[in-house]
Amino acid sequence: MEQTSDNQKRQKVLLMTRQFFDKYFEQTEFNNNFDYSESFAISFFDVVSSYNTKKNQKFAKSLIKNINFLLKLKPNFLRHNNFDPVKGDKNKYLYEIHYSNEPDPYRVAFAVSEDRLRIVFLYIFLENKITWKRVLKDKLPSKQEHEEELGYSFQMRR
Amino acid sequence: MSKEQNYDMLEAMGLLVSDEEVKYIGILSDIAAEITTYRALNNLSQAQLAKKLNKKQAYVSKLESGENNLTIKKLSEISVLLEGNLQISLGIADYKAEIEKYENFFDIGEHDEFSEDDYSFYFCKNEEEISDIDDDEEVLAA
Repeated sequence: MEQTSDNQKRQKVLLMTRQFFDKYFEQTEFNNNFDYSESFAISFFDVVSSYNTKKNQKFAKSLIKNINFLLKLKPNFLRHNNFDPVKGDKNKYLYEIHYSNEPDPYRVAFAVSEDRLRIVFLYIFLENKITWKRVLKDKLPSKQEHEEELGYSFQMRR
Repeated sequence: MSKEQNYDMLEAMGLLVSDEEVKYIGILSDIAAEITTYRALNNLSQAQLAKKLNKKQAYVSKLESGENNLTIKKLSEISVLLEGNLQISLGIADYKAEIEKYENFFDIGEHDEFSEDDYSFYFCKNEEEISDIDDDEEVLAA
């Protein structure tokens, strides 16, 4: 019974996340070069659920802005802006949108596909709730698991 | 669950942003991406770029974060200082194409497909001539 409930929540979360991105990116040039993982969708839902309506509006605008901006930059130029490597990432493939420039203390970790054509959001970290420590402790999917889920590999940072 | 119902859910959670705002965010991020790319291509730090713009580093940081709602005057300043070519369009009418059509209309004369008489109404020099044409039209109308 509990498994069914979890499965229903998972479906709802995935649907809501897909609708959110469809709304903003379906008709744009970005449709083919932006992806997100299932763990991103789940953490997206956790963040939204923990905010009130007003904060969610701010969050949505900020997220759209960050995605727009990211997709307009070449991966080589990431270091020139607020996109830093995730500290403690031994595989050296994760970047994050720097939390200090966000209106709220959330951070998004993303990777660039090996062909450099796609940006993939992998996790949202929310202060005191969804932390990078969980990834390091293998509580969230690994690089390999994400690659299997999405069907392509990520570029390693130089 | 239908798409519309799901949008209702997004709205209830405060996740729907108006089309105008999405457009606004898009333009700000276009500018931010262009500034960042310029800086990267020219290997400049934010402070070095700020110096070129006669501003403080925080100004460049805000430009790159897409936080500044820039006026057309400010955009012009940035474009001139960085030797760019500012172009702004509302996307509601292609006036350049319209001007081109108008220019093409006058080009027809070069191909000698019409006699000079066909253009006589363009080349009236005085009121007497205009009056003559008006008289002819009145006769024709009658």
